[in-house]
Amino acid sequence: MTDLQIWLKRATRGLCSDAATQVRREIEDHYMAARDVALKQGATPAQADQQALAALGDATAANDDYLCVLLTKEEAKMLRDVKRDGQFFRCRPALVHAFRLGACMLLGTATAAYAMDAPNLARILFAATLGLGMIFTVPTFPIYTQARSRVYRYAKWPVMLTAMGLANGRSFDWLASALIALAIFGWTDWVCASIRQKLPADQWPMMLYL
Amino acid sequence: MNIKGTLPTLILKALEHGPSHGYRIAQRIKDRSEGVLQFKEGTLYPALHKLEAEGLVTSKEAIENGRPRRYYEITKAGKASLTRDRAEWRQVSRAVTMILGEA
Repeated sequence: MTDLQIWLKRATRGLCSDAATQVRREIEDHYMAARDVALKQGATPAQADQQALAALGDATAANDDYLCVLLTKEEAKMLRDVKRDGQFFRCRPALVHAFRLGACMLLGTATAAYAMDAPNLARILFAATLGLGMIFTVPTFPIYTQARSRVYRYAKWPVMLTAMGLANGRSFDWLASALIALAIFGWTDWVCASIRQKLPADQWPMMLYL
Repeated sequence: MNIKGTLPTLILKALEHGPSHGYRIAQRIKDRSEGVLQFKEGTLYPALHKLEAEGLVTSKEAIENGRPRRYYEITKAGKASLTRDRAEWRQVSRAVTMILGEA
């Protein structure tokens, strides 16, 4: 393994395969150009290699920088998943209507339960309307611009917490399950936020807006 | 001199007059600063990718001397950002000069 290959291996650690390939191509091209210049200036091939490699700097520092701007393996997997999910919903327009209708029916039933003096049932149904509506119904509306989706993302967490609190009433047993749910959703959102920072907005798949 | 914080602006400036590839951008920055501004060339590409994600530069691949090479080009948003950065830099530079008492 040459010194350049060792450098590249360190610099591309953790990156997804597409990003690693891109980095390798760019750095190899850069290295060859620097090497050619050094050779023209009278350096021996060994000196030219050494100078070209030294100019690249520390591979670990470059890796830190690359991990901040290019997709990691985990992010690439998440991106594939959200693309697949988006495709699933796009191909099934009936689901969109079902989600909207479902939210209306839940809200109607919750209101009816409240009117018929069944507050506990009404509370759970209102919670279901809020939670399911936020996750499934709101995304069926045209919120796929950066500004609108930002509002959705900020609103999602308080609404979900309210729904959880509402569903569990005065009992605080729900806090543990809420924390687990928050950790799972939070991690997913964290990875998606990182992808959003790394991809130009015109390359975002639909589900990445959420 | 460490230029990491200002590297994106220097890259945009290097691309102001036309598309270029990474190596040439690095050399242009070093040459224009007469060797004062030094940076490790491995950090150039992450900065370029970040600028691309922000829509300030675009890139496309072309074949040059039988080798695939990625060319970067400044966008309209990139030019606007460069203008802002330049104005900000002049302000900061003037302020620092005043503080150091060299004005």
